[in-house]
Amino acid sequence: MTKVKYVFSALFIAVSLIIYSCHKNKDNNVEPASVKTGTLKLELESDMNGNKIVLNSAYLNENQDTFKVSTLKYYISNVRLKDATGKYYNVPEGYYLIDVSVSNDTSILIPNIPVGNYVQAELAIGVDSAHNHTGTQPGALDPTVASDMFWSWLTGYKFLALEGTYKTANSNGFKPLVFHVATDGNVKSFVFNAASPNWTDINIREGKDTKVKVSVNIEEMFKTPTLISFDQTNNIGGGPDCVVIANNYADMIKLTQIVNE
Amino acid sequence: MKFVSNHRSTLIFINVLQHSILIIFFITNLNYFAKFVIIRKGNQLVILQILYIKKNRLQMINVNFSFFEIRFIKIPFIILLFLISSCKKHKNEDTVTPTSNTPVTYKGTPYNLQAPYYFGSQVAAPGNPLTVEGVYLGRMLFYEKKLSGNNTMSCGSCHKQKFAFADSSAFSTGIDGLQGTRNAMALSNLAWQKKFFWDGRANSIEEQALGPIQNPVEMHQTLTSAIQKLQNTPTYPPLFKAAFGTEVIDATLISMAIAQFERTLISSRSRYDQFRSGDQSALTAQEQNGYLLFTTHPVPSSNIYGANCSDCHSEDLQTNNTFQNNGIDSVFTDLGLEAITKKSSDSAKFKVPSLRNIALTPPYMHDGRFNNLQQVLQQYNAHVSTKAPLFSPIMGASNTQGGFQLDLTQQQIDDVIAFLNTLTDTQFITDTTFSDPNKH
Repeated sequence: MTKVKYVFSALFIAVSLIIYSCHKNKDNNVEPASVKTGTLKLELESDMNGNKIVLNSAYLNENQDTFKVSTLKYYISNVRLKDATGKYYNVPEGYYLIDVSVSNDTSILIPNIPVGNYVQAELAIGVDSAHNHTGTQPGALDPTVASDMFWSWLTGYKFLALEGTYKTANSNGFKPLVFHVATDGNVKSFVFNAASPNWTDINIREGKDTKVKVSVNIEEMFKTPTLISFDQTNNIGGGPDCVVIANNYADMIKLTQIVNE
Repeated sequence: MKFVSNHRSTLIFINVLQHSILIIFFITNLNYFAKFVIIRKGNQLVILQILYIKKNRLQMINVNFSFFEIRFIKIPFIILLFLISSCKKHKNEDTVTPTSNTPVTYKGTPYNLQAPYYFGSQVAAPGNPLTVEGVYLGRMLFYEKKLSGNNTMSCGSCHKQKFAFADSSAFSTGIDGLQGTRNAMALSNLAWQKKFFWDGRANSIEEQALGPIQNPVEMHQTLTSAIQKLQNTPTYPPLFKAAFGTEVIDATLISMAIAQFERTLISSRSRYDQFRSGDQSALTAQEQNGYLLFTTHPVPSSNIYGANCSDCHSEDLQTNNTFQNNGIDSVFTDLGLEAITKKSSDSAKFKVPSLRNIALTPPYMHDGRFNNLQQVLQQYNAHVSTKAPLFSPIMGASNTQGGFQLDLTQQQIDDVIAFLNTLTDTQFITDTTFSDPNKH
């Protein structure tokens, strides 16, 4: 009897521990996708009037003020695609920080987009109000990662930070130039569809990267509808001037090409 | 979690204490650690608890599983251990790859670092997880004068707890009576910082910690000599054993232990923290006005007043971890970050310090030139060098239309300083878990 008990308990403990020890780790197993997906590759070129921007080079704005850019960073967010039935695919938690000191030609890979034909694409510059007032967020919104884009829980993130210097006929030498565009309400969306130049329907295919290329012309911040004179507006971080600059974004992002692989 | 063996580094201990009948055995290699707590109940053995490491975190299973009758202990244990250690490594296992040059087998008791949620994510410290034993060793070393050439100074000599781990002198005096050229930095909430020293030359606290020991104007001792002295004490080898599993002391382990202790220096119990946690009454009206000024960029055309501090001293640690030329000099004697990066655009840039406990840490600036916060605010308010483009453009924000100086009123300056005082954490400077362990 004791022998049977011994054999039984030996087997039991050995088997259960081995099962526990050697069982397949389920954490890393990818669930079989119920929907086939592909990738959108968003290629952003940060430009100054059609040429890739070069930091610390002198440029002229529409008002003929000379300026140099030492820092240029901005958030791209709220990327979404619309299919022919009018249904949107919203990229979840899609916040991307573009830092021109890293590259003026940035590729954002957005995976897991359901395959299909899309007739409209949208993206925004900024951080929506739901995400703008907490400093404890992952990814590009993590202040430990993108430390100099977050101010406070009260004032939120800088949506676009352009820093540098400027010189005008009236200024004696170069003076500081700071455009920190922020504040809820200044998130600007851009829509591309059949009405946009260079549009062709976006075809997301399984295992393929569909490229959407856009240019971001920074110089547009300083003209249309409001012409900016740096003597008047040179250091902003909130208030009505932010609204003016954000409204000037209107012509800033242009679709240059869609490449369906 | 799988208990696997690569045969090379698996250690198995069976410790049967005849009287208490407590059996603990470890199965561990570089990536895994497991500890079983087994006790005797009557004539049966019961597994009470299984502790194991998964994805670098400690997991615990409380079980109450009786198995062998005690008289059959020997044979099944041999079978069991043989079976466990012969399990093959699985391809899908969650591997934790130590990135440190000196991979250290996990040994200690995990240390639970408590910090407010609003501090956000810590900077990863790969290969050096906090343990109770490691933190204690680090605390001993932080206050250990044997780390200096003539046994008169420790880290704590210049990073004094009562001054929030800063020094009240502009330049600390080293063991040879010599002085450096920069003010000792206050230490708090370092687990959220990426670069260390005023010029950012260290990429981790581990890297930073060994600097002052060897610096001729500071503790002035070779690492070889420091290691030798510690190795020859009766105290330290067992502490290293408990923390890192070896009595053989080396520089890497010293730096890891000190870094572990410094990561526990969390300052989060100021009145500002009460305010941040939702208690509006924690700050007075003046302090709240100071807070508004602190976080606001001025817009003179709209009568929006601001001190623009949070452009650099952003929440919640009152630093954005960047390096800035704040325009305090038009001619530089100290190149700061430029000396490290060799980029002229980094000229005279210094680390933006956290303003936690700022009222406790005079003198101010990298060279300790200002004795009080009034002088600091007056500097930022009216004396920023406009020798553009060498200073950060953000220093040009102004409360005057067309101006380039901050131009706050004296009342506004006083309000900002009132707010800065709310960042003082008196519990932090009296917390005995941070103090010299030999004095308690």
